[in-house]
Amino acid sequence: MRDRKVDTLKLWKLICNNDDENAFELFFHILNNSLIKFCVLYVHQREIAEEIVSDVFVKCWLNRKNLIEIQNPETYLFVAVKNQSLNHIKKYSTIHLVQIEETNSVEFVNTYNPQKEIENKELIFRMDQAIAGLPQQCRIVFRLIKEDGMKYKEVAEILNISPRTVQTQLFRAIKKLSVILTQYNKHHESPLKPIQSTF
Amino acid sequence: MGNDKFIELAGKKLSNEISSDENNEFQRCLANDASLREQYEALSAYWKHSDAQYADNALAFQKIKSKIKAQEVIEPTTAITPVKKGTIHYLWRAAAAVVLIAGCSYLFYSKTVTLGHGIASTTSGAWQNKNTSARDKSTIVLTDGTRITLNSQSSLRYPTKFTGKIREVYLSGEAFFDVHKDHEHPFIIHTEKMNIKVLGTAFNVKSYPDDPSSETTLIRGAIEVTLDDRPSDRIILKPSEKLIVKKGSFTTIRKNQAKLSPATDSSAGTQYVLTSFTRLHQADSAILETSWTQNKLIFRDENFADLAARMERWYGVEIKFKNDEMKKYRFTGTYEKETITQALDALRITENFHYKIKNSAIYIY
Repeated sequence: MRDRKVDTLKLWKLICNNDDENAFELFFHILNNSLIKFCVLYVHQREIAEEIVSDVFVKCWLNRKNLIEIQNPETYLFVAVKNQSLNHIKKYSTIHLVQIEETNSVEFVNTYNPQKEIENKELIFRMDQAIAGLPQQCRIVFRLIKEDGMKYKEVAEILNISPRTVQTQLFRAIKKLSVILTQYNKHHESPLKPIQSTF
Repeated sequence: MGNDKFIELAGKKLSNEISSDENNEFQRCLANDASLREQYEALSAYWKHSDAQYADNALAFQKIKSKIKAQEVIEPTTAITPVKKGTIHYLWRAAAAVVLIAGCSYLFYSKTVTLGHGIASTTSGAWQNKNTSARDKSTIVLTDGTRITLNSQSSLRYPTKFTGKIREVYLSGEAFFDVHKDHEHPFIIHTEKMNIKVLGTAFNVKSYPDDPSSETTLIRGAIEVTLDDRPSDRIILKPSEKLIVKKGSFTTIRKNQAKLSPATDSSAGTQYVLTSFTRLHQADSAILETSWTQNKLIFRDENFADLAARMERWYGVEIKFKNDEMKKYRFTGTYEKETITQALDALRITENFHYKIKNSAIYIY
C-alpha cells in the first residue's frame, strides 16, 4: 500500500509534466476502485459514485498544468471526490438520506465469493455488518485506513478532522469488532480459526 | 492489560501507527494472554481481508477518455479546488440541514406541481405543445440538447426555453427520452401517474390515458420515480429495469429481475411492479420497449386487447371487439411495413377470429 503512494506521485509528475496518457491510465487504475468505494460511503449509489469519480479524473487531466505542485496526488483526489460528493448530496438531497447517527440498518453485503466460502465466512459477514452499522465518519475512517492503508495524518487531511479524532474513530470501530468477536467466541466454543496468522 | 488498552494498541498496530515501545508492550501482553492473542489474530485476519474489487475499470477509463475528448474542445480549463480548511464541519451540518429542508419542500413542491400551479415558479416563458396523431411519430430536440422521440397519439408540453433551476416537461402517451446530462438542472417528466426525475440517461415512458397501466423502462443511467398518490415513495430505477404502474389498485408488489418478492406495505396507493425490460433475443441488444423508435411494432405474448390498443395508434384505426373472450388471445410477432389487413390476416393464422372493416373502424368477431 505504501508503494502506491510512491507510484502515484511518480505518475502524477509524468502526467503534469509530460502529458503522459499512459501514466494517466495507470494512475486511474491504481486509484479508481478506492475512490469509488470511498464515494459510495457518501452518496450510497454506485452509478452516482462512478460518475463523480470519473468526472474528477476528467477534471484532473484537463487541469493538469495547474496541478503540478501537488505533493500528494492521492490525498488530493480523495479530497476532490469528497467535495464533489458533498456537492452532489447538497444538490440532490431530495433523493438521499444522510445517516447522521448510528442505526441498526442492515446493508446487503455480497458474500458470494468462492474464496470466502473456505474462510470464516460467517464471522467476516458479522464484522462487515458491524462496520456497516457504524456512523458514517467512523466507517469512512476505518475504510481508508484498512483498505487504503492510509496514515492517520492523511485521513485527517482528507476528512478535515484532527489526527486525534481519526484515531478515536478507528478505536471505536475496532472496539465494535472486538465485541463481535467476543460474542462470537462465546457462541462457538471451538477456538476461532483465523485466515492467516500474523506476527 | 485492560480491554481499552488492548483496543488502542491493536488499533495502532493494525494501522501501522505503533511506536516501538508500544509494540514491545503489545507483544508482551499477547504473549501472556491467550484470549487476547486469539482476538488479535482474528482482528488481523479480518483486517487483511480486503473487500471485493470493482471490475469494470477498463470500461470506466474508456468513458473518461471520451469525456476528456468532448471537453478538451469546449473548455480547456476547469478547476477543482478542494474546500478550504475549517469549512467542512459547516458543510456537514449544512448538508444535513439541506436534506431536511429539501425533503420538506420537495413534498410540498411535488404536490403543487401536479396540481399544475408549479409551472410559473420554476420556468418562466412560453410553453409549447407537440401532439402526434395515430401513425405519426415525431422527434423534438429541446434547447438543452435533450432528444425526445414521441410515439403516436402522444402529446408533450415543454417550455420554449429552459430558464429555471429544473427542466420540466409534461407527457401524455409514449416517448423515448435521451436526456442531456446537466447535474445543475435536474430533468423532470410529469405524467398522469408518475413524476420521473432524471439523473442523465436514456429511457422510455409509456403513459396513455386509456391504457390500464403506465410504464417506465430505463435503458441506461439512473432515474427516480415518484407516484402522485404516494409522494413519499421514491423508486430508483437502475439500468434494464422497468416500472409498471397499474391504475386504481391498492397493493404494492415489487418485482425485481423477474423474481417476485412481495413487499409488506399496507398503506393504500397505486400498485406498481418493478421488472426487467424485455430483451428480444438473448444475444441481441434490441429491446422490446423501445422497438417503436425503429418503426417496428413488436409484441411478445401480448393479449389481444393490449395489442389492439397499440395497433389503433400504429395504424390510426379503431378496433372494436364484439366478443370479450377474444381479448384474451395472446400473440407474438413483429410488424414493420405490413398493412392493417396483412397484420390482421397474420393474426388469424394462429387464432380463430373474423374481422370486418367499416370506414376506419375494425370489428373483431
